Amino acid sequence: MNDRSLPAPQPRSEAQNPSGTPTLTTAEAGRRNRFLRWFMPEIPLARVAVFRVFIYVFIIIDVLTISGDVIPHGWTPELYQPLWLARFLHIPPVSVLGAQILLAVIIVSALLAAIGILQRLSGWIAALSFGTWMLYTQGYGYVAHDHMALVIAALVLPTIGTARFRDVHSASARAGWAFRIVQISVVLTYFYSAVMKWIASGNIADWGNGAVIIWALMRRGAEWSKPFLDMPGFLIAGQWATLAFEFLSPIALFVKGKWLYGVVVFFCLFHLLTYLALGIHFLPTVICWAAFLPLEKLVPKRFAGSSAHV
Amino acid sequence: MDEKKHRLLARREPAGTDDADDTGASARRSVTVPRHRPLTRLSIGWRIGVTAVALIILTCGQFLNTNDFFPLGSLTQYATAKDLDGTVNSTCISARFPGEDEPRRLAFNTATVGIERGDIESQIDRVVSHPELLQTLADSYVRLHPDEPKPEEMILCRTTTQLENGRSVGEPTLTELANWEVR
Repeated sequence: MNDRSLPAPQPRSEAQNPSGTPTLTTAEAGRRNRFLRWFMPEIPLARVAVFRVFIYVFIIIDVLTISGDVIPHGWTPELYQPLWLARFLHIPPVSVLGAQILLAVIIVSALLAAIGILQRLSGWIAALSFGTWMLYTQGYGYVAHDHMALVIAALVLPTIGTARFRDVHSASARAGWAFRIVQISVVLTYFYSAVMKWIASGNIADWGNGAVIIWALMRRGAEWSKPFLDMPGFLIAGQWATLAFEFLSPIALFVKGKWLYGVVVFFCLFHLLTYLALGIHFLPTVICWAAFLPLEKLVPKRFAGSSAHV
Repeated sequence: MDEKKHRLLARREPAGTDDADDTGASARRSVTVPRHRPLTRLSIGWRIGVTAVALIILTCGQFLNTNDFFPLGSLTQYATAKDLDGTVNSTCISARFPGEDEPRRLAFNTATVGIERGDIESQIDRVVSHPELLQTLADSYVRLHPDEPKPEEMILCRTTTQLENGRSVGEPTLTELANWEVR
């Protein structure tokens, strides 16, 4: 829809700084209070279009691989341990056929949403079907927390509305809120994980000085990482380092520019290390770190029009 | 006239511009960008309300130490401290096949028995109390391996490794937690 109340689109050369990144300014921004400017920043809709591709393509990969246990769960209905939401909604144990139908719905809707066809409708269908899939993958005893940000991203993306790759110069506070929520979810995945370590252990020093990494390496460590079992002091230092950056993770919400890139790269490298050592990749959270980045820069210039259509 | 005024206003660098974009772009020279429709008070209100409710649930999930509120449950993975002089337990699943005297260790994952080790460990007391639940693992194994012989017995087991000052000592011990004659 073309909002005729908006000023005419700027020529491309005027709407970008020398680095090629559009900078968002609005007269209204000055009137909004500081919290709202942080909580609902206006970000380019092209960023949404790119992020949607990341998220929905990843959802398809996720249901086919990482959380692909829902179809086998159809064979183990006796082991169903429904979560609160599943009990509240009276969601029965999944059958093999039900899981296959759900899988098809997720793949079709996520593809449409990634491409940008019927954006709100496909987005909501993808969110609801993927949410149900998550209740089934997590509803058989073990609840992993690497999917929190991804599930929340799937739920908030359809609230943005239409966003296209050419909307490099169109800004939206709706998009800003959705991205901020994904960012908060990512950060709280780490921060609350550190808080939980404190709560579950009673004394945070017990966790830091304990044998959690040793325990993890013994249970599922890669062969190359086994020699580290002879260096408990090194692994204990690793535990304190983990606690430190988990507690400090909220700084990602407030730093900018190179510092922000540094934080994102640091956490991605951390997950690469845990993947190589323990097979724990945390990819559903890793993909959501993209919400911190100026993804509109990935749009080729020939697609990045100067349209204000949204 | 109004449109011209709007453009002139928008070309100024208003206070708070830095909050518009976290990626560093805003720290540079500012230029006008056409806006999406502004948010109404209702739109802002429900977004703040939903966020606050979600944060409360997530926070309660931590202090109540429950995963039940997924996706806003407690972030308990690897949260419990382990004693440097304690033990490391790992749950395993074995099956005895026709013509074989000794049970054979099976991979504890969805591709082999239809469920992950972590799922069973999370409801281990229930499975030990009701070993008939192992029948469902045997059924899954048969469905997933149609060309393999059907197991006669399923055994839920646990390996325990003793730690001393963070280093393992001795060989792991094997404990049988439950077994089930497959029907």
